[in-house]
Amino acid sequence: MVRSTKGRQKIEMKKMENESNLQVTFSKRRFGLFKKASELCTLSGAEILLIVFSPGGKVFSFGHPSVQELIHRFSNPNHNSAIVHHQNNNLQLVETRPDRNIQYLNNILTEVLANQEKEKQKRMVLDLLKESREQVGNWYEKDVKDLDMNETNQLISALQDVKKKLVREMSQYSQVNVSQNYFGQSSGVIGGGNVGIDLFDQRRNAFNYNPNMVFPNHTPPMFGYNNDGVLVPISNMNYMSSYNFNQS
Amino acid sequence: MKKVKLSLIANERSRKTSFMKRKNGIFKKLHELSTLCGVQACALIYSPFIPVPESWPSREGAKKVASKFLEMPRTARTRKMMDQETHLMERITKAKEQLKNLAAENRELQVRRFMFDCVEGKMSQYRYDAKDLQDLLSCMNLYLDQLNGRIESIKENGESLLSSVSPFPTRIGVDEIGDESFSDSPIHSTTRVVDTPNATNPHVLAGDMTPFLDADANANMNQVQYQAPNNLFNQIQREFYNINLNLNLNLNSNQYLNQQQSFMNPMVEQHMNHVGGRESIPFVDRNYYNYNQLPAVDLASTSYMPSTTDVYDPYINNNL
Repeated sequence: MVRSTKGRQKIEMKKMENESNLQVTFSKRRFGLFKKASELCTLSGAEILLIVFSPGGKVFSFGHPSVQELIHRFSNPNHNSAIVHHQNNNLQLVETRPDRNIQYLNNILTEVLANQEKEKQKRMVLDLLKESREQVGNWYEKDVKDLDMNETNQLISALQDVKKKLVREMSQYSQVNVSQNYFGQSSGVIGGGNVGIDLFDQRRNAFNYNPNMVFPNHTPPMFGYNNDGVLVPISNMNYMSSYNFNQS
Repeated sequence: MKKVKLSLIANERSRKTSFMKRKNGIFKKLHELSTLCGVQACALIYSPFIPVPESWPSREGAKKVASKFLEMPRTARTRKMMDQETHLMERITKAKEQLKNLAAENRELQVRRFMFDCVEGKMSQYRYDAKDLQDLLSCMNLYLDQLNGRIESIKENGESLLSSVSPFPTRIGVDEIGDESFSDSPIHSTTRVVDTPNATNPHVLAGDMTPFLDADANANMNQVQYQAPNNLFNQIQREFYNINLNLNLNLNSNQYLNQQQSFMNPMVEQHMNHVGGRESIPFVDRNYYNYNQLPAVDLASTSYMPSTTDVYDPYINNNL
């Protein structure tokens, strides 16, 4: 089919010729496939094993509860009694005790995705406002590359004037900020009294904690899901450490 | 599109139906992946609903791929291996990174708009706190660097074109005069407000707004907090209305400027300087003591999206 734009369009279902496109497609689709498998495990209690060899020869695998367990089970099909037994056990497991940590991670993921939606809506509003301002067409809001010498000098002068007033205003606000930090401390926010730490706490709050968050099966920790209150499986300890490093 | 809650589906019939649909979807995706990229892959699904596990592409095909998998060295096997927990952590990390970028972009747009409004002499119309001022200062420093770079570029290229209308040194002063008369209108009445530490609380903020809004606007503001998608755009329309007034104001300002051009004598210039100098005093006073309501959209955003309090890291780094 011939289309005028390069938006979303159907692709031919055969091996891709372009090598770099193939690599990118593999990476994206592999991630999407594992995502769908994870959702299916959560929604229906299924146990899924996926094995994919990349064009470069590496192997990617996803397994719930684990790759080793499922591949071991798959390699011993003759133990029918074991399979039947595990089926019954699996059914009980699904009905009575969903994995708390996985449910907790799913809740965090849902929360972060909801926040993303809010930011996207906010962006739409801001873009509309920006469009209407461009129609007004003030010379000083042009792109910097389009300014001439006079305009540039005048804008620099104006900005420096505003900056002087701003610095005076900030010196006044620093006192108010100290007062705010004091209130922050009294309300139990960790790290109050130091502006840098306070900003860091704000950032972490924005990402990890929402007073309106509802956890059906689990009491959330105050900050992050690797708090001491959350039991971390030993098999994932290394990954958790690595994750902590990435996060900070 | 209806959002699916990420937890075990309680109703067993719905759970089974969802399982069947999604299982086929996964097999389809696996087929597309292996066909497009020319790679080997397999899937194995155990479920309480089917006694025999389902395989893709077939039982023998899956067994062959599994055997190839087992023949690989252990390190190569486990390097890219993940279970549901590690996969969810990866997704959370990616989602948080995206959220951080989105929030930073939105913050930058707002601060830039705040900066240009300050240049136009509208700082008193904003309600801001110390962090807003810090971000504004960082944004201005960044923009001044770009402008200085622009000057260097003009000098290097010998680009000496002047704008068709040569602006007066007090061009900004003219804007301030216009804004002053504009600020006297009922829409932008200026009243003294004492800031409080709870100013950033959306509810307190909404309360503080009450004395400055008429009944209809107050009703709209209340609705904004609970029916954001509709009233958010009502707020946008109010903003459009304000900008149209601003546009008329700019036209008047241009006419005034054109009128001045026809009298290029020193007396007029002195008069302009005098007026500009006199106007700067109330501007400074307003900066110190007068704080007015937020722009409509920012108020709506603040009321509706209280969790967006992220810090724009590059600016903070510049400020440190």
